[in-house]
Formats: sequence, C-alpha cells, structure tokens
Amino acid sequence: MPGANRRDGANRALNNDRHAEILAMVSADFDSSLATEPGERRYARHRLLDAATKLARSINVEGTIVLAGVLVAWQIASHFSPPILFPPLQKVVAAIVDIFDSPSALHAIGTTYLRILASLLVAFVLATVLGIAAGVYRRLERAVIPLIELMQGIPAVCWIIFAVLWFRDMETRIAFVIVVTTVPSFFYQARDGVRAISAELWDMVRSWRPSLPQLVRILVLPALLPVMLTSWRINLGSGTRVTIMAELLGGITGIGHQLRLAQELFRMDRAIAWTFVLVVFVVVTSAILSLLEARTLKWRHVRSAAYV
Amino acid sequence: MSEVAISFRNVSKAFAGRRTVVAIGDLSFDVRTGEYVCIVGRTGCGKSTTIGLLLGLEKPSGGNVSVFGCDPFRQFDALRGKIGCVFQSDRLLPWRSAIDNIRVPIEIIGLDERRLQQKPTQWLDRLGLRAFENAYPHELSGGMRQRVALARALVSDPKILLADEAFGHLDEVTGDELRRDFHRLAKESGKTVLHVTHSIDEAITLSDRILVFGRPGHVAADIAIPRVRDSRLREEIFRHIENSERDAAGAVAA
Repeated sequence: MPGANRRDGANRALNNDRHAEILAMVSADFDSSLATEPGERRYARHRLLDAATKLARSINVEGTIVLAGVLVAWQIASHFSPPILFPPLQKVVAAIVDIFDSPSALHAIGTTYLRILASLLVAFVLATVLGIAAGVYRRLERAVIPLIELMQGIPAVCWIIFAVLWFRDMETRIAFVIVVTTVPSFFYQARDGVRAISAELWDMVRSWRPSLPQLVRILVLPALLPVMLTSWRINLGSGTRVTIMAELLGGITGIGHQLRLAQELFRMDRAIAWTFVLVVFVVVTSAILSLLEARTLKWRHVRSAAYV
Repeated sequence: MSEVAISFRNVSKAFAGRRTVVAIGDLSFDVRTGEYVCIVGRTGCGKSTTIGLLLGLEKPSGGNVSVFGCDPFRQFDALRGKIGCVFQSDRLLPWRSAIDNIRVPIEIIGLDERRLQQKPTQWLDRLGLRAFENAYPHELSGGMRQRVALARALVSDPKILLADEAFGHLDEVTGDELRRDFHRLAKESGKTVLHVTHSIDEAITLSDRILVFGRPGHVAADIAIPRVRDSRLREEIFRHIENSERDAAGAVAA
C-alpha cells in the first residue's frame, strides 16, 4: 500500500521534526538556565551533587540489606513472642527517646563515660611513660615485663572481685579495674612504637645533641602518635566493656547499673536502648579518633588504596 | 698554621656481639680548620664508624677522639651546634615538612631563627626548593630530600661538616649537582669538612687531602691533593687501597 507507506513516512518526518524542535527548546532552556544561574549557585549545586554521589557510593548496600532484614525479622518475631524476648521496634525507639529525654538517664550516661575517659587517661599516661622508658632501657623493661604480663593474664572479672574487696569507694573500684586492664595494651604499644623508630632517625636527632625532653618531643612522641591513636581505639572498647561489667556487678550509678535495672524489671526494650547508647558512644569516639588521625597523620604516605 | 679541628689518636673501636668485630684498629689523623678531607676505602674499613665516633654516638674502645679539644662522647653537650652531618640516606622526619625538617637543629640548639645569617627559607631558596617548603618528605624526590638534608646540616652554621657517603646513592646528574653545591657552600663559609666516600673521583675532585683507610680502620695513606690533578693520582689512590687490602688479608692469614 504505497499511500499508507507515504503517510507513514510523512508522519515519521513530522515526528522527527517535532522531536528535533522539542530537543532544541529543552536544550535552549537548559542553556539559558545555565547562563542566567549565578556562578556560586552553580558551584554550590555541583558540590551538592558531588556530595550526594559520594554519599551514595559510600553506602554499603549489602550491609544495609542484611541489617534491614534483621530488623524486619525482629519485628515479625515480636508479633509471635512476649515483649521480654522480642519487644516491638517502636517500643525500643520509645525507650531510646525516653533515655535522651530523662535527666537521670543522661546523668547515668555522663557518669559512665567520665569514668571511662578519666581512667583511660590515667592508664594511658602511666603506661606510655613506662612503655617509652622500657623501649629505651632494656633493664627497666626486664624489671617491669613480669608485672605487665601478670596484669594481662588476670581476667577482668577477677580484677573486679579484687577491687570490690580492696576498695570501698565505687569510683576507685571502677578506675582501678580500668587502669589495670588497659595498662598492658598501652604499655606494649608504646614500647614497640619506640622500638620501631629507625636507628637512623635516632642517630640523626642525637647527632644534634638534644636534651631528653627535646628528644622525646622531636622524635619519640610524633613517631608514637599513630600507635597511640590505635591503642586508644582498642582500649576505648575494652574500657567500655570493663566499666559496664563493673557497674553491672556492683554499681549504683551509670549505664551498667541501668542495664541491671532493666534486667531485674524484665524490660528488654530498655536493655536494648541502653545497648544502643553504648554503640553510639563507640561509633562517635571512633569517628573523633578518625578525625584526629586525619588531621595529625596527614604526613603518612598511605599506599594501601593503590593495592586494593 | 691553622688549628687542629679534629684529632684521632690511636683510636680503636670493637663491637661486641656473638663475635667481636673490630671496626677500627689503630686510627690516627688530624684535620685542620678549613680543610676539606675525604676518606676513601673499601667497605668495612671503619669509615662510617669514624663518623659515629665524631658525632659522639659511639664510644671508642681505646685512644682519644677530639673535636676542638673536646671528647665528642664524654663531653656530648659541649659540642652542641658545632657539627653538622649529611648522612647516606636523607633521614628526614616523615611527619615534618621540608622547612620543619630544616628547623630541627635550630630547635635543639635553641637558636633564634630571626638572628640567623641564612634562615631556613633562604636555604630552601638557595637549594631551589622554595616551592616545596611545606611538602612532606614522601612528596619529594630522592634528590630533593637530600637537598633538604643538606640545608638541615648547614642551617645552624656548624664549624664542622661531616658527609657520610651523602651523594653516592643518587643518580649521576643529581649527585653531581649536590656534590658541587655542598663543596661550594662548605668552601664559601670556610667550614672544616670530613667527607666519607666510596668514589675516588669524587674525593679527588672535592678534597684538599685524601685519607685512604685500610682494614680494620687505620690510615693506609695520607695524600695531599696538588692543584693540578692528573690521572696518576687516581691510580696511586687505587693502588693504596689494593695494598691495604692485601696487607689486611695477609694479617688475617698470619
């Protein structure tokens, strides 16, 4: 049917023309919007787009799917079991909101984290000084190593029992337990960090004849910074665990105490809410440490990315 | 006659371990102020140990080492700021930028940077590194790092400069440039230089005097370099090194 074919051809030509016309209009509109858009706004839009792309790329899709699956499974389980086993998610969220809304709960959070950070700071200073000295002086190392190994060998629970028997004051007990359980890790990191400083750098700095404080400031502390940050990362986790355990076993304040109350009242939702607070603490402190690392260790020539 | 800046008198040095290693047997020599002296010799003849003894990092097993009348090991603090050293590797602190690496001696000696004749930035300028002031060592090439190390050795204006195979590991062009810079800067400021090198040609080009070391650490030959250097000089030094090696082998066999 030649007539129909001709009509089809004419329609196609018309469609093509129309298509080109629309394309030209859209493109002119886009060009004029670009031309009229102020430079800063365009730049801001680009940056926003860039950030959104980066964020989308940084999301661990597989991990998010697994996590969402666990939450869905939990929610389904809550329909078929008592709340003491699987409380509904909305109840858990309400308990979390309740914690951040209540002054006494916030006080418990503050108490626990102050205990952890203050005790870790004491352990860090003690162990680092001892570790540096042991890294330099063999005799001192030989003298303190048995003590450090003994401290490391005793389980944290035993230290808690000793602390309960030795000290009456609650704060002293918790501080003692955190210090004795984290000193070995800080100590070994500092000692090995000092040993890892190359003999060439020691000789170079020593050839200028520095005083001991100068040697520590110019060479030792900057060289130790990466391992110190790592040891903080490790000990924040173990310090948190030990503190919660100590508060759980004999505390009358803090998150551990709140967890015990939740257990005694069969409030699984509150137990999960308090656990959430602990997880948030670890995530936040880890982020702060990462930020600190990025700022202070920018001199490091990180090659790992090239090998991934 | 200029005064003696560096003096070694019957110095010996042995390193104790599973097997005692004698690095220096019986070493005696003097270096006068303003002199440029090169030490050549084969591997293991105690050249770097000599530098370690001068820096006060090693204690001699016997004899006396003296720098401007002071024992570098026992009177460690007395020589603060008087000796600068360029090592075989740059030995820059990786956490400090180029300019901050140059500032290390200034901080240790406690100098006021504003009163220095040549400030760290000026040294960077002179060595062509002004644009890399804030670069970290890993961002610099080997030659640039060694230039920073050179500036660090010179910034505090030490009276004695030591160089321990400082240019040997660089490519020929960079090494040659640095060698010339080092020689020029040392001569301009009238420094006393003790330069350890593996290269006989480098020693002939740069020095006023060459000490040929034999094993274990002793002076096998002390050769003053004439104004006009000819090819026979190289052969002579080469022969001394070979002879000292033969002597050492003979001594071991006996």
